[in-house]
Amino acid sequence: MAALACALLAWLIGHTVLGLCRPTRRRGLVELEATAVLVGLALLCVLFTNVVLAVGALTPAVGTGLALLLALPGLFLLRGNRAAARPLETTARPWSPGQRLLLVAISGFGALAIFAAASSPVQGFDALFHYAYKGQLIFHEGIGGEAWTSGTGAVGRIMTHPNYPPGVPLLEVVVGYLRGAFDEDAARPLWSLFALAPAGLLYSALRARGRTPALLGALVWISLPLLYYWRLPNGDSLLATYGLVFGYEAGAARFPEAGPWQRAASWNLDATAGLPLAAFLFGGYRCLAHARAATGDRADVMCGGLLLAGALLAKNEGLALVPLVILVLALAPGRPGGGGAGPDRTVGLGRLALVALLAGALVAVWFVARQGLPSVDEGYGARLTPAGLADSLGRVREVTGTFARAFGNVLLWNLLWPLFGCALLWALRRPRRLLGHEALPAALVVLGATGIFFAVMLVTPWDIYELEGTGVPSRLLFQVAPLAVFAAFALLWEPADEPPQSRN
Amino acid sequence: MDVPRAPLFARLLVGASLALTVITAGFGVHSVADWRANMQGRSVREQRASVSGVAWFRTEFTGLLDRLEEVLPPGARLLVEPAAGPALAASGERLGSPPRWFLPLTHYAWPVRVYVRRPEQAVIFFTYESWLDHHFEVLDIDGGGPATPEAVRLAAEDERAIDEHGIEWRLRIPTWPFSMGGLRLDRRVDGAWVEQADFPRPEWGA
Repeated sequence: MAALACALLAWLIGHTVLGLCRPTRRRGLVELEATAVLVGLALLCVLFTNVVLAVGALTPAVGTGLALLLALPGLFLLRGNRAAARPLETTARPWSPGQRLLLVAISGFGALAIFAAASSPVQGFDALFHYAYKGQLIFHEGIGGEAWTSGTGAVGRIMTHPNYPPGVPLLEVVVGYLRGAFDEDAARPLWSLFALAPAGLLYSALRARGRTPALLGALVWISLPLLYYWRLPNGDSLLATYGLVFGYEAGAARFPEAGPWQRAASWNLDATAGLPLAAFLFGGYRCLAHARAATGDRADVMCGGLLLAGALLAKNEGLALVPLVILVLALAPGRPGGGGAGPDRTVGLGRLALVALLAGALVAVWFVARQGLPSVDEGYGARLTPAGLADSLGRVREVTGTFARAFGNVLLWNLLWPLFGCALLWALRRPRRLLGHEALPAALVVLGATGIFFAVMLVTPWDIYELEGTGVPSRLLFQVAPLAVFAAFALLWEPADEPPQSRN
Repeated sequence: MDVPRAPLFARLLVGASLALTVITAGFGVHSVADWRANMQGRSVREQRASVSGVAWFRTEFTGLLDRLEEVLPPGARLLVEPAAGPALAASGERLGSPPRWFLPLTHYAWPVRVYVRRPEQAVIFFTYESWLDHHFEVLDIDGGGPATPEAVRLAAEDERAIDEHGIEWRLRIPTWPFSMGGLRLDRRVDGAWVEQADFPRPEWGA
């Protein structure tokens, strides 16, 4: 119940932000609500990071009061925001049976996302020790006390990655405020929002290409296996497939001699940070893309800043991915964000700079505080140097192999990566058109992120195969999965010729 | 449907990808059945116990938590150290194995504050053997104590830190071979560690 209350508060907070910005760009209802939810979650991360850093641990009453204070205006702004959104489809072509089927499938997987997030306890190593433990500490002790700083002494308390950003633990803390006690399991259902909102954003981003590709894109995202499980029922792919379709117990009964069988479980709905990062990054990308286009408005700038700040507070990888998104959108030609002539390039760049400044300002206090926290990690910053990379060139073949296996792992990805690759090759037939294509920046971010992850795996002190056994690099690639879905469908489907006002 | 505007190969690829969602949908159906059979209406503890493959949901670990809750006062400061030989590599034990239970303890035993020596080495798996070396080779905790002047200095440094943190309790967890009966809880009295004789449950075995 506390997670549901938190979801409602986040949604209203998002409407507060959107309403106060007085948007001039007409958003579809799906885009409006998906943006509101993500912006609300991002603002909760930003607000409580800054408040807890400033005044220390809050009482549940104060924490709840602050969240309510932000949500309250949303109650009054909600109706206006929805009225300003594009009306429900009245003039569009009627829904075909196939489209209705796609909608049913999306709804089914949406329900699975909610069920999967709400029905199991938090159990993964990262989910517990990188995030939930910190949430418990923030709830009771605040950020930066002995538990955070004693990890490098002769004797001290243990913390994995003390300088990881606190956004995800803080979401669990907010749920704790609402229920009066910390419990990571109570916050787990909140993660379904990070699966549902990008589905809405994908639908609205692809809607200009027709209802069918928009539905297909949303379905490809919400049905990604990596959302629901990473650990497969059996080590053998065929047997794992059997175990997934018929249940691992049926697999164990039918093939008892085929090694250990286990329940498929644990990845991003298990309250880790990859899913929030993916959602915030894609939401931020969409806002930025709109902000630099002619139709961009204040809400795009404000929401873009908040969502990118959310991405920076979700996971350390945000430190690389957020600048990458901003840089690519600043340099890429074309007019993302819909039709119409783009604004003066300087205006577009100015809006991007505003978003970057806003995101930076919102997380500045955390990054100052972070300087006082030990890293206690693999030290990738020091390893990712020209010399470090040169020393690791001998591992290129191994790392390439792990990426190839990840891209081809249909049990975790379905066919997303072949689809993305084929879309890129297809678009490369007409390079001049590709240069101005709306989806080019998204594709470049995916490629750039893949390059960064490749470099990280080159210099990692871990054994490559041991790391692969923990789900890397798929876990990393997941952070740009919504961008990959968007790029693939936008590159493959031409915009439809329906009248724009009929789209929603 | 809208007039398809994607190339045929793309539509085929998307179709094949969607066909694969049957696998995920199958997982969803079995998850619901599994939940109804094993988790619906159960306590969080029972739900956790029904999850396989998670070391910190095992009954040995939750039993240890219960026992610590009985014995330690709220907010107690507890030093966790390894006992018995550093045979980690040979044991094949991994992240969540009993020797590294200090990690889940630090979360699940809260408000008990869990401390270790050299936490930086303890927390990262690939420096964990160095952490064991510090205990068994430098400090020689299961032998005659530190032998070299440098080891004596390091041991004194550790003792000072233990005092500074106000640590009053110590839990020794056997590395390999592990047994629940090998767990030992000590209390610091006048600077010396005194074993709490009644700590291991009788059913844990000696």
